[in-house]
Amino acid sequence: MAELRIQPKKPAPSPWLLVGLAVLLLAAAAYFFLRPDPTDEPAPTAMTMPAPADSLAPGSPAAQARATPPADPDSGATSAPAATSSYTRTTLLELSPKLVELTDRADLRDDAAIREQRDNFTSATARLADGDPQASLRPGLVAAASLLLAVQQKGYPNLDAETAELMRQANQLSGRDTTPAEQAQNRAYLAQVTTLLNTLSYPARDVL
Amino acid sequence: MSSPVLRRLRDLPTFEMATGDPDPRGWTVRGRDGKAFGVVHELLVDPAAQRVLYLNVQLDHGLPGVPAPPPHTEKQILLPLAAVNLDTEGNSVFVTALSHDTIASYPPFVDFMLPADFESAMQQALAT
Repeated sequence: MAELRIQPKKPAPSPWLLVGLAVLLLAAAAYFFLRPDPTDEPAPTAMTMPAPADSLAPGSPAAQARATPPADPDSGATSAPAATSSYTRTTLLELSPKLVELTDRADLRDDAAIREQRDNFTSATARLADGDPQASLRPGLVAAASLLLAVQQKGYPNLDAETAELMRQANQLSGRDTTPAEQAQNRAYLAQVTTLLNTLSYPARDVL
Repeated sequence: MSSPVLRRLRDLPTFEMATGDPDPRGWTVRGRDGKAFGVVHELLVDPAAQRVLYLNVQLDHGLPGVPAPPPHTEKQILLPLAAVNLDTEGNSVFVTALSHDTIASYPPFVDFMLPADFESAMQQALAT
């Protein structure tokens, strides 16, 4: 003897709900597939670098610090102590495109160690470039030294002592920039980075 | 006890076969001799009890003793579900009380309205 039962149909989900879910899925897929690759973005420059709003006000300490020529850190020693609060950050970010440009040189760009150090440096300075006030300076400062060390090891064996000294200085950095002593230490370190970067910007055969 | 209100399942868009129960519509109907004599065309259900009570079977043409239906119509019978066995693997309905030769004596289902004595006529035909 057979027995068959029937039952009320279960309410089907609203088609608009399905449409909404499909749109959300498409949006998520588009975001993941079409977002710009961080490695394709140009390195942040001083002109395009976002900074905290208060640091952009005319006459603010940050603006004064930015006006300070980064390639001549000694001249910044005469500015007011308050103006050095973002000097390290500003100088490091202004050095960033020059460092990246150096690694793009034909004789350096194919070296895996240099490429790795460049990526480390870009990553370490990304939060600084984004204007994150909580971002530590130390990773970017140390990554800059590591990058210069990789470049030196690639083609400048006679600059071994200079890069070793730079690495020693980098390892002594606290990453803070608040006390006068820390500011002076950062300033000296950045001066050394600038000097070494200028030297390495010349072809190896021209560097004695 | 009042008679159940019979409805065709296709006329109840808010109902469906219960989960796990087969839908025999389209299955072949066979007698005790195993010969097919029709196809399940529709299910008559009691919505209140949520049960299938009858199979509406469309008979094949050319059955012995069964007069040809009028033009553009089909010869149909009702089979109480209690009188059949379902073969879910072979998609067949077996009616052991009927056969290819005795189907002619079974009361035809000519209208959706069920006469008062239709139930007893079916039971009598199945008992013979």
